[in-house]
Amino acid sequence: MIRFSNLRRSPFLREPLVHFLLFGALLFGAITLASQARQPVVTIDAQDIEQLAKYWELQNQRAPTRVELAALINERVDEELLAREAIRLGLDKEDMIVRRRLAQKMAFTSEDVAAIPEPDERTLQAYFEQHREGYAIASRVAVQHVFFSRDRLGEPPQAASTLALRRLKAGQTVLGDPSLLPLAYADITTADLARDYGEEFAEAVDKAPLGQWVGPVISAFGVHLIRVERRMPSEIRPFADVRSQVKAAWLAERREDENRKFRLALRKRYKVEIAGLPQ
Amino acid sequence: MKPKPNEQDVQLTDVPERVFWGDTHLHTANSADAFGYGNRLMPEDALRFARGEKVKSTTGIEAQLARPLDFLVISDHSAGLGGLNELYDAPRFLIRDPTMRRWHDLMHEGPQGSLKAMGELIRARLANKLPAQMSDPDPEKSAERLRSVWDDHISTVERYNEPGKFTAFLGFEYTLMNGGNNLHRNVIFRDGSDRVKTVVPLEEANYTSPEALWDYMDAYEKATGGRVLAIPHNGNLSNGLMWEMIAPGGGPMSAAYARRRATREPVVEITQIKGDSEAHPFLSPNDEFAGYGTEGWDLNNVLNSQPTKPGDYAGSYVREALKRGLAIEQRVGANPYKFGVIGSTDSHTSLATADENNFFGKSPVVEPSAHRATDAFVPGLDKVRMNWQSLASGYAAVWARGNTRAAIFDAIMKKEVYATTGPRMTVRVFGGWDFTESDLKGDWVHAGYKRGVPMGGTLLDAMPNARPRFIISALKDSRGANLDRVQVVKGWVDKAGRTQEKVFDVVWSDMAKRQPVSGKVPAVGDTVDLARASYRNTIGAPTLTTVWTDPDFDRSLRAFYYVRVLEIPTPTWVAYDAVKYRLTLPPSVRLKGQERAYTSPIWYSPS
Repeated sequence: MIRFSNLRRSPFLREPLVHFLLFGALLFGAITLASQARQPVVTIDAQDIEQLAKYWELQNQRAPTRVELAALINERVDEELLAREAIRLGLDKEDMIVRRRLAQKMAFTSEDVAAIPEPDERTLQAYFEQHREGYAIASRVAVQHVFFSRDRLGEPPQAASTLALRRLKAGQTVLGDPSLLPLAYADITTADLARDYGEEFAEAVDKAPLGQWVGPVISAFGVHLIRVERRMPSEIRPFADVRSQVKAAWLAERREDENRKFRLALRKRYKVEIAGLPQ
Repeated sequence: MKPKPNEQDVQLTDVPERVFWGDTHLHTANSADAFGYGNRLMPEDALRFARGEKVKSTTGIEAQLARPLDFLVISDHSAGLGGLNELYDAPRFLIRDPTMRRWHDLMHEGPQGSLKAMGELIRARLANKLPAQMSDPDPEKSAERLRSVWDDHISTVERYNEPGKFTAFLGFEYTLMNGGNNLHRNVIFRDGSDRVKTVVPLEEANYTSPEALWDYMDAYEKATGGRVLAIPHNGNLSNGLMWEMIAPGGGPMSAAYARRRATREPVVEITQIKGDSEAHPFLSPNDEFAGYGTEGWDLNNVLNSQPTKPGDYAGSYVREALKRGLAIEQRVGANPYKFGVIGSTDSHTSLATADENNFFGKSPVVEPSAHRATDAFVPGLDKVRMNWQSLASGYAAVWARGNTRAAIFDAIMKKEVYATTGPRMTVRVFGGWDFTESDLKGDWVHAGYKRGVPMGGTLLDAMPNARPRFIISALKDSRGANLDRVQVVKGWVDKAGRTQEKVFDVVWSDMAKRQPVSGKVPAVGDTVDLARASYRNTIGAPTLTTVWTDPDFDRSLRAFYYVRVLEIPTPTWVAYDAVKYRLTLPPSVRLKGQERAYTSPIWYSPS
């Protein structure tokens, strides 16, 4: 190993090649310094470090050692550098996940910014009047039925029901198959019947004349004969009963309006060009 | 103004005639974790959705149930009820704690940021390292907050409770957690605002036992004359602590504890989005249908802070718990685990969805999207469970005399309830000593009540040579898949004091063609078309009814019987996603399954 003191005295230093190399080294240093002046800075400040340490502590239930903390900081620096470089190279531009995330962030932000004022009573009343049908109590029926199961033994359900219908019309009583669902309803909506028996059954009940046995009506379970005893018509619920629903609907509509306006404003601010569509 | 009908004005039938469908376990933005997952839908949205109205989900998707529910319990976590909401709403400059400020900022970033804040919060809580202000908040202020959130909640629920049409219960979730092992309980009040507003939800402390909750329930009933019950959360994530053979924290279980538990907790949640707890293949190796929805959920406890050992399973699954209950009863004279079963969603989206073709997921971060099938259960946090392992499950079915708080609550107390993994099958069972096939020709429902007991009941007084007989009937979901088979699961304690179980196929479709082979009924077949996410009802049966007699009955041995109804195979929600979003999924992803109903047991007690 050559010690510095020896170097100074060495004839080495007087060689032109050495001068050249030394000069080169100095120049390189100067360029490095100059470029450092333009170099972007990544700062990990005390608060960041504290946060890193805290976060680590949350997961590991003890403070990180100095070595561990150094590793955390190193990782954080790498992450920051990679992210910055990715942005510099435009890698965020064509990324679906990044785009989705940004759009979501923007949507949330705009929703938070656009505060919707409390509606007054007149506004709500007017909204209610415009949407009365939405606040109707559905019509209900009283109905009974005789059931013939699809998996019954003996006579098949269609044939059995035809015979039974004739008897019922003649005023006789008939016995159908047992059913897990009730054979008579005092007060039920056709929506509920559709839920339990299927649409076809509910439609048949809707159309059936009052007080007469009709059928056969097919459901998921088998064949039915039905008789509607009474119909209770639909009615509109009074405003006072549904005020909170009206308000919720009004607010939702306004919020959607605001969102639409915001998106429209964006459409105006930008020119959108779509391939294949006339500009 | 036309007043809403009172509970007393609703005409009740003399016996339960209809099944009422509901969800007893649903979170809204008022739950700290749901809010953390980005949920911004409040109880009002949850109630409107359950009633069948269209609402917009947190992620902006229009959501509506194909069929409304009949009742709903919003069970927001009592701990920090509305607390995150408050942190979210607080002016930023007033938040001094740097961690809380960071969470505030993250939550304002949207669901993903919220999720991150949430993860940090859960870990902080687990490590007992919550910021001082949150872990030990100004008691006066936090009581004030709880009061005001609770009061708001009560008035919303009261507005939506419509006796006779839609029942909205008051309730909350008591988030008892023993080192990350899930011992949560959903608390449901039978009463309205007048009584319930005299209390606030109980927040858990570092307990290992639910007894503090039962004390709270006792005190409420004593002070108000009201009624309240608790439903333990799905047990699969409790690492064996939900149904122990010993008392919580160790020591032998006392008869007093056993009795108190059975009274306070009449039913348990057997199935929900975070898996199914009916039976585990490790415990029931002879049951080829055990293990529905256990995959992924049997590895760790709820917070993934402790792995699950095979020895833990027995205390985490319902069938084993029912057997343990018999064994404990034999020893101490009371059965702590004499419970019925319900299903519920435990959804944190405010949307009670359990239909495979209309599933909104566990939380807003896994609401419908092209990537949710392959996301982790909690994207970015859960490294063990995949979201495709989430079940679109379940609902609570209640045989009640009408749709009112009192009628449904009382039916739950009587355990005349069952669970499904989502489809709305109708299932009825009566146990007695003298039922015959000819009962099926008449009004067997009234006969069932008169000469026997419904699901949830107990058979007593066996005459010598008598055998228990069961009238069992199942109807498919009118819009759903046909039924494969109906089974009876029997559990008992044998003469040597060991617990035993056996599964009987009692009635199935195409019985003439599907003759049992060495005691097992052959599989029903499979009509699922994965390319279209569809199935055909060309196999299976729309209804299955039978009268079944236990062939191995011994009147000196205590036993239980519950019914399991299996549908034919159908596509899972992931299969629907795969078609909708044109996904190619790894082969390990489950794309079809046989959905099912589980009834509450009927017990037999020797005199």
